[in-house]
Amino acid sequence: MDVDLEKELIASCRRGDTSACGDLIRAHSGRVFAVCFGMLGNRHDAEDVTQQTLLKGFTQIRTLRDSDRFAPWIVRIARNLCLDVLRTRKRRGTPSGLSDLRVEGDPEDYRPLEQALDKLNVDYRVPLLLFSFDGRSTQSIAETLGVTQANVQTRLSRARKRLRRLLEREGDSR
Amino acid sequence: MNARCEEFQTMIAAGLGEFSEIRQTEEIRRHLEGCSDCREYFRALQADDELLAVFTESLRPSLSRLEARTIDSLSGVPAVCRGRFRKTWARKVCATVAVAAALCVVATLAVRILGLTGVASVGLAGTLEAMQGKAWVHSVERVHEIWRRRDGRIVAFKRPNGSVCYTDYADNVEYEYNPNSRKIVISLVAGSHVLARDETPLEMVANIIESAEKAGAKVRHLGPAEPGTSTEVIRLDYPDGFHLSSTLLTRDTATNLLLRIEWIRRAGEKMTVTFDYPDPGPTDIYALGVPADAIVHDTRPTGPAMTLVRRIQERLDRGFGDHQAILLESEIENDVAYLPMHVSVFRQKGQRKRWDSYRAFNFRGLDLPYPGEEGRWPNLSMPQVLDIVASGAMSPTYQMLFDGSRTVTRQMYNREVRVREWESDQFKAPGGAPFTHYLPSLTWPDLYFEIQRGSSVHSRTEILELPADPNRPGLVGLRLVRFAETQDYWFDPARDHVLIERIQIQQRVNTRREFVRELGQASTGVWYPRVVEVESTNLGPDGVPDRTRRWERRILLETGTTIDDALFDPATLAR
Repeated sequence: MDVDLEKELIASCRRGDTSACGDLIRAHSGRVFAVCFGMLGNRHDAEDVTQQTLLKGFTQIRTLRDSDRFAPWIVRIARNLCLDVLRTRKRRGTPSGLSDLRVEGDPEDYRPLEQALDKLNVDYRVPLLLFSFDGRSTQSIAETLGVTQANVQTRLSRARKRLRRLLEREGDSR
Repeated sequence: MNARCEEFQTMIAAGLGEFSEIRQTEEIRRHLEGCSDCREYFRALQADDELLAVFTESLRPSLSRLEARTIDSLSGVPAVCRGRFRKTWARKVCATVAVAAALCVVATLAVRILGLTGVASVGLAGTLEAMQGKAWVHSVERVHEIWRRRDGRIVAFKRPNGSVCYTDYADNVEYEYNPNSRKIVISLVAGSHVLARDETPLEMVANIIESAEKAGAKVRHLGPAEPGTSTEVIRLDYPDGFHLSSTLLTRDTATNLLLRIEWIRRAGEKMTVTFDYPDPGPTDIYALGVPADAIVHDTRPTGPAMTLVRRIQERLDRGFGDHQAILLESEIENDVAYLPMHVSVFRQKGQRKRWDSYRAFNFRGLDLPYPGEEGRWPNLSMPQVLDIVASGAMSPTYQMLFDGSRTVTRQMYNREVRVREWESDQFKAPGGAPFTHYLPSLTWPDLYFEIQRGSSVHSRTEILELPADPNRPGLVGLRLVRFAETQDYWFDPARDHVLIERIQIQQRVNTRREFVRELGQASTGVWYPRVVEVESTNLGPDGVPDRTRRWERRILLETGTTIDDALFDPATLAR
């Protein structure tokens, strides 16, 4: 999104313009969802946390200091909320992965892929999903995650190799 | 495989870091040509990439609903039309209801349901027949009320706070009433979205019966729901291991109509839906309690551009009629090398359609009797392509078939075959099947869908007529503008309004240009894009072009040909 346009939308949001909030939500929901899905490994929890993040972000948008840094700011909210969920899971001893929490009725087409993603280290899963959901730009991922572009490229490369191995194992175990 | 291969595989994975582009250096290319292991690895990574992309696309609709819910929550408006189950447990219960649909899709309901052996044992054959005879069904699920016309043309929702959504798919219009603002928002809706509808009551019952049969549920007829009433409760008790413990179906013994379904999960959670059959059903949004003096806000695009939009939509609906076509896709590398990617065969006869897609990465490795220029498809004729396909040299990776009543897809991935079924024509579902190739939609874009995509109460798609362009003589153009995205379309009115050029600009994300390099004309005189080139450039966050990918589509089309009926039998899909 154009930086000036984004700043303008943020200013409108602060004035309570829900239409501008809607535009920002549509522009950033994929990125937030990818981070939540990547951290939680379960897309149903990820949907809930994404919604919480967006609601929290837009009801507290006045606290955003630098409107140039909206994406990292909203992603940080998402990460904090995900960490809360992970802490709660740990306390309750509930399973974390989607393979354990699969909702009956979900399409089975992507089960091997989801299981492989579930087993992927979170450091690899988050950039991989961001890449897929958020415009396929390593530079944008780097800015979102606050790491270098080279780091993102390395993580993506390793993620692909590990995903391949996991999918192969899935295939062999059938 | 040796240490050198390991090194190359790392290079390949790194090169695929920007997934959309494959950086084949000469060194890698040479190695790939001589090493079958690495070639296999390279193809596997590409297949993973495709799967991830399809998976991501499959999540987009729920993400859109989530966005709408969030926007509505922010504006204090309940999301009546866009997502009815926010709480996880409620969604899980809902998903449970849908489990039968995932396990077993019901084909031609009118015929198949009545033919099920289990219906007789459950004792619902007469009930299903009676339900089929009703023009409207009104159901109440927790606090949500839904009205559905039997033919699926109209669906309406209402919540207790008075917000209402009334959608007429045949007229491509949706009315949404917000009681807080006392405003009715009218928007354009694509007819194809009817395919994404919720499970109908009839499908619910049919799916319950099928899954009960498969699970080996015990059927018990318990007598009236309330003493003295002309009702009967039928109880299905599932064996251990099934996700449900019981389902209770209540019917009116006088009218034979279903009145209520109650699902009970093992954990004790319950979900209930009740039914009645209004006659007539709601004729418009006002019939559902919306005040007559509500403010009407029509967001449907207007103006002269809409005349062209409707013309293109009509052309798309008419399609090519009966036809057989081949699509050869190649990636263009460094302006010179054409790397064959996919071969698709399309067939349509009446309403029946079939698409077979083959991966062609190993094309150059095949011993074909049709030698061509190195690195690209030879100038193949349709019989030659069909010969190659029939020879079994390439195995199908994706097949999709609509036999007039149901769609069956077969996907080959990772040595595994996946088969899915729908009780609708999925070739018409552009939003639901992102990778569907349907020749008419490659020739005429589904503009109604494009207008609806991204539109909401808060944001609408604008449509503008483009002025005549001396660089595009004879072409007519229109522009779709929505948030952070514009799309320009240029059509040739003298040649069946074929789409000649499309330029899509997603701000700071991607620009994509498709243009016809050569037009063809089938024996029946209809025009079609013979050669299309596509150029896609990813943009960095600063808007500077990052990477560009180009590919070519070559289409061979025969219209009015006789196509063997047997090809539309799902049994003919590869095993």
